[in-house]
Amino acid sequence: MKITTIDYWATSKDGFLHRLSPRVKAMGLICVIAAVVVLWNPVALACIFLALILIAVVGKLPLKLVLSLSAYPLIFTALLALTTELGSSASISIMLKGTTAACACVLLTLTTPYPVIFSMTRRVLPRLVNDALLLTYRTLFILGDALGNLMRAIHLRGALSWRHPLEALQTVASALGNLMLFSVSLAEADYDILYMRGYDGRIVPGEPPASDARPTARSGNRKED
Amino acid sequence: MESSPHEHRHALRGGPHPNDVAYVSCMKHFYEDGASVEMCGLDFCAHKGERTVLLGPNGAGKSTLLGHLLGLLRPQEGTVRVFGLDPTRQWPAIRERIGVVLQNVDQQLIMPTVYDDIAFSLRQYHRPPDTIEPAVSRVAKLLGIEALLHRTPQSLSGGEKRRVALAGALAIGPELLILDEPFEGLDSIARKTVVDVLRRLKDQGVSMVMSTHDIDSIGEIADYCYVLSSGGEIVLAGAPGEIFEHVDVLRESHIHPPILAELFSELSRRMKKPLPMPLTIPQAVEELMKPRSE
Amino acid sequence: MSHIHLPDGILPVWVWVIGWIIALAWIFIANRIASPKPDILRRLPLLAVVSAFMLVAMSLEIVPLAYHVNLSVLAGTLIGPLLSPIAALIVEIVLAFVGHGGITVAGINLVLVALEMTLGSLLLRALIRLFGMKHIGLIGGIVTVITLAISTSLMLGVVSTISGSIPNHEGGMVSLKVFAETVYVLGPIGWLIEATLTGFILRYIASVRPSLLTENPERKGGRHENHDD
Repeated sequence: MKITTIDYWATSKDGFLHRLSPRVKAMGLICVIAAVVVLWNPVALACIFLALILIAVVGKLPLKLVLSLSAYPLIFTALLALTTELGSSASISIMLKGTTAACACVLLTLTTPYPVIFSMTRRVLPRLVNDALLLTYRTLFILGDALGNLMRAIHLRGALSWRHPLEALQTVASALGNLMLFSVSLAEADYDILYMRGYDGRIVPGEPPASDARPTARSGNRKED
Repeated sequence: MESSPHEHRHALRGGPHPNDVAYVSCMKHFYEDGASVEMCGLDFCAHKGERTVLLGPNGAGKSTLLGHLLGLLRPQEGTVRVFGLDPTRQWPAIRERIGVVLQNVDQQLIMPTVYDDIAFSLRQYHRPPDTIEPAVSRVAKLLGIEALLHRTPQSLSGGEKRRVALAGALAIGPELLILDEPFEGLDSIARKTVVDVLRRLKDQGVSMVMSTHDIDSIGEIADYCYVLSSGGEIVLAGAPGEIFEHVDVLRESHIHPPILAELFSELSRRMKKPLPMPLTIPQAVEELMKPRSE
Repeated sequence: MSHIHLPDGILPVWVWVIGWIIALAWIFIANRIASPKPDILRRLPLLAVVSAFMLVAMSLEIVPLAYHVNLSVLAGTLIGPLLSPIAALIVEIVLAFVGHGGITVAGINLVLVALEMTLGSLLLRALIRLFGMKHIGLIGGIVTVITLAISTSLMLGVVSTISGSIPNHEGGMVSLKVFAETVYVLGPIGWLIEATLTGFILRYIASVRPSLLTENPERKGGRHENHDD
């Protein structure tokens, strides 16, 4: 899912898309989604998709990543197009719809740090969901690292061979079971930390500092997927 | 051991002294997996305004003791008091007075930016909004992490995370700082920064309870030490100089004495007379430069 | 196949609007019940961790089929039915923003995933109460297959609404018969893989920390809930 890579691009780079106001980008996303919902003309949809790709190119975003993430909906839409008698126009439109909408979302997340995105969703989501979203995103990195380490250890110990699928599944299951137990321990530790640090059922939001700099990561020094 | 200003600590006492910020007496804790920590014998007490350090091998119970002070663990037997209160039942009454840095700082950093994480407790405790930014800036400057304020915590190195966690603990202006392995992951420059900060905090009257493996820094960071054996029992207590005179006890507790302590212990043995135990290299040089009669 | 996330622009507007209404109602009710509870302090990190666990599990590719699991039955068992829709919402928000699943259809995707979690959790715990932990692997596998079969069928039911909105190349109604047949042929492969994994994981957990499967997550208190204010 490449969340760490997306986070890296959102927080470490400084192109014109990164500097664009998050509200403008969100409005752009909404417009693209609305167009995707309404339009069935494959030419129009293709133009929107190509425009988004052009924006990605001009904004110096990683094209391979953008295309691979945008292509995910094709799994479903291609299957739908191939197994129904939609005709070529409708088939192409269906595939373009999913891909275009995904591309618009990806452009937003590649150029907007998640704290900024979540500050926008904060206005519309319940408090519990907002608090959980904040913690979830940070937990993703911890669990992602943990699973990566587990799978690396499994590979290094030669314990994963798909020539024996049942054994391989059992090995993967052990890793995931381990991860699940680690997750539960992590939740218990987080419970302690939150309690210690003053959490009483609600994360109190606050104003960003006056300098208003974007959240960043260290540039050029992150491992990528 | 010679009589010391801390002599009263060595005896079993009936309860916390008014000057104690933290007190543990005969605490017993049994984990689900059968492991246990039993801290009977000497009472543990941290005095107001002092830096109290826990020394011990892995599994001795240092983190367990700190967990009890933080109200995260409840002893099956014994007494634990922080500011005179039971932390397992009355933590909300004392938490604004205590700053904490845990050993695993990855779990401690919970907010999306460094600034938000440092400000977290300030916001949770409903401190006036116009005091939050100055407080965060102050501690960031103190720890040399101003440039990290807009970073996301997951992008930081281990040492940077530890300094951010410390900043979060200091931002609330605690009376008591509890630190579990505060120097882990820090390079020598960052370590020196933290040592300087801790010294400054002591001058401001902040009490500290720390656990550490960094035996060589004890002279710089400790006013009083407790040495734990592998079963959790407190086997030695005293000022650092007093502790280091008992090199054998330290070794039995699987703690490698500081090189200076070993050197002066050996010198004392060979010279057949006790030498004052220096804690720092300048002190050692001064001691060695003294003229000696044969 | 069981976790295909519907993309934007395919379904009729009324379908995804109703999907959002159901999803929001479910979230609203769950939030109203869960938020005031004194043990929300304990549940919040668990909610975050379970959501993150599902997302991380999805990133694991089961080669060579390039199949992704989300372990919704396990996640639902850990978090309990009450918070399952909220965990599903968090998962769908993150997935939508990385291009896996649409924004307009996030409501429907949420309902499907939350249903898997809720149903899976309730069934699993009921069967554990009935049969104990002795055949936990088999029980978990069966529960997984049942829940995934139900959610896949519901997904097909939702997709079938397009047959009234998109004309086929001859101007008549679109037939989804072949699509449904394909899904029901390929789907069980995915269900079996996920069921096998779930069964193995349950056996692992049962041997190491069985209380996770036997204790009700919605009744368990937290150790900081006896403090004096």
